[in-house]
Amino acid sequence: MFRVLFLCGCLPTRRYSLAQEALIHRRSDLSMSDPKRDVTPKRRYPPVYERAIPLALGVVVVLIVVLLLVVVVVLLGLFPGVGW
Amino acid sequence: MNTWLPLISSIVSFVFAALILRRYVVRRGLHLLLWGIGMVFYGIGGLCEALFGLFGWNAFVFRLWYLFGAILVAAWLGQGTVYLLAKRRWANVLMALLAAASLYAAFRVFAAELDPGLMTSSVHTGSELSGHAIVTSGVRSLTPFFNIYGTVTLVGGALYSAWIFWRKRVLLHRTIGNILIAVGAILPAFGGAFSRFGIGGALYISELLGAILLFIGFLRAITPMGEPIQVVEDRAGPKPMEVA
Repeated sequence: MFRVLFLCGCLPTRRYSLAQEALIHRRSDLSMSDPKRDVTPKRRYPPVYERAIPLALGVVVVLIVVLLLVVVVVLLGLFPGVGW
Repeated sequence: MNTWLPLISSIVSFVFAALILRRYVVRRGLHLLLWGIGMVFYGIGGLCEALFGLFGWNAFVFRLWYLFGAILVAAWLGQGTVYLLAKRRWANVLMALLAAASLYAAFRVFAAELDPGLMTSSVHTGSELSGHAIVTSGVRSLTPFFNIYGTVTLVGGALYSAWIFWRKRVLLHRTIGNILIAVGAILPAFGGAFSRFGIGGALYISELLGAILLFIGFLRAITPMGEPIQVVEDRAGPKPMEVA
């Protein structure tokens, strides 16, 4: 904190911002070494599944929408001879 | 084709049902019992279609087919998923409603007047069983309620589970298994729709594929995979970790 105030008072704006950034980075570097740092591990499936699974989920959702449309069309009797 | 396809689906369904019910005996869980019952219904439906292909029209076989294969199967399978995902109290309420509705449907189907000649009218060829043979009004209109409930709960439940597992990136085998179950459950619904539009063979093929995919999906979901799931830290490099 002291160093920030010192830099604010003595350095031009551009150099102040650089110094402030350096301090922020230094703090973040320190936090990197902290075992309790807030870096959430991100789990990943194997690459092929990472791509295929959302695609498959999307396809099934589209199929459901199409099926529901067909049901509605049949229920409304828009196709002669196929109603309930 | 109209004999062998449903016969194979029937065999697959009964084997699958035996596997699920054996698992129920060992592990308990009402969802397993209901899935097992649902697959027995699936098998009965396929068997009735095969009998129709082999021996032709029989009113009793038709009624069995319509009740178990066309009305009840999806709803009972879906009810199993409800027991797996919903709160027990809600699942019990829905189960009571489904049981009452199933009894009512059984009464209506076995009391209905039939005319097999109607299966060859409209867009149907008559080579497959079709609900067009039911003359009494108000019977065929029961099927969408059961099937929409069954499709929404079974397919929706499987999709929901797959989505949750995928978001958390855990249990890859269950993600894949649930997607296969969702596809397997939706296929017969499409087959039924295609059949209504006069596409011959669509129903029986979709039922067979549906039974196979449900079976494979279930086996996949209960069998952990040896695939590694990577754990990647945002700032550090990837660190593969064996989870399964």
